Amino acid sequence: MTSAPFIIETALLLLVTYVVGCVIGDLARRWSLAEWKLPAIGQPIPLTPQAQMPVVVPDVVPAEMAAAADPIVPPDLPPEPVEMPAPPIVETLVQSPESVAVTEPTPVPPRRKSVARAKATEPSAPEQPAEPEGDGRPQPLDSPRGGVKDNLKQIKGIGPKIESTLNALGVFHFDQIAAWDESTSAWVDGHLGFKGRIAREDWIAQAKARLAENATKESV
Amino acid sequence: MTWGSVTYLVGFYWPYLSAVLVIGFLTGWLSRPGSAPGQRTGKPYD
Repeated sequence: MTSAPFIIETALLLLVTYVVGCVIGDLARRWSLAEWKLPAIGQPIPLTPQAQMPVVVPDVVPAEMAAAADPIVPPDLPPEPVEMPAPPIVETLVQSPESVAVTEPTPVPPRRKSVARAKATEPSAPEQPAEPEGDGRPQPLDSPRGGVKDNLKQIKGIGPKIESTLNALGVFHFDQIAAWDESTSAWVDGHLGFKGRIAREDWIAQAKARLAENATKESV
Repeated sequence: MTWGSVTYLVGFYWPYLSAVLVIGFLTGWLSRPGSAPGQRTGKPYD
């Protein structure tokens, strides 16, 4: 039984080796935790006041750093911006007000109904036909010469109402009517809505006759 | 047990002794609660 002490010694050596390994492992574990200052898994993490406060990372570079930092300029780009021509769409937008002014819609003529209503509500003269084209308006007088106007009612066809209308047009004397030509008589005829009444009644001849009568009276 | 016998055993069985040493090391490393990889601490939802 000489092998019994040898087995015991071997067993003791293995046991001592195992215990030494356990001690070394435990110490290594403690050392590693102390080195990294990390608690074991499952242990509560002690929070310092700084850790409890919310960490706000500013996204703006401090002024000192910004002032100290050199501006980053790409070597390939020119230092100053090059003015590029505006794209066509921008020109179009810039010119849009003019184009709008040019393409401004023409006023749409009112409907016939509205025109009829306007005419119905309009306090107009009894007959307001369209004035004839062309310049045939008689030369008006602001007031009768000498403050005395001729009695235009002596012409057949002219009543008090027509006389006041002629006076409103600046016609106060026979010589004015006698000086009318065809265009003037047509203008007045159209203005008064007589439909050729002046020519039919021959106001111009009547006026010339009255002038002749007045001339003979004055000469006598 | 003499120093001679210990030296002989270590010289002869050093591979086994080193293996036992590694096993002991791991046992001591993992003996602390919660230090084992994937080991639960016993807390719910841990």
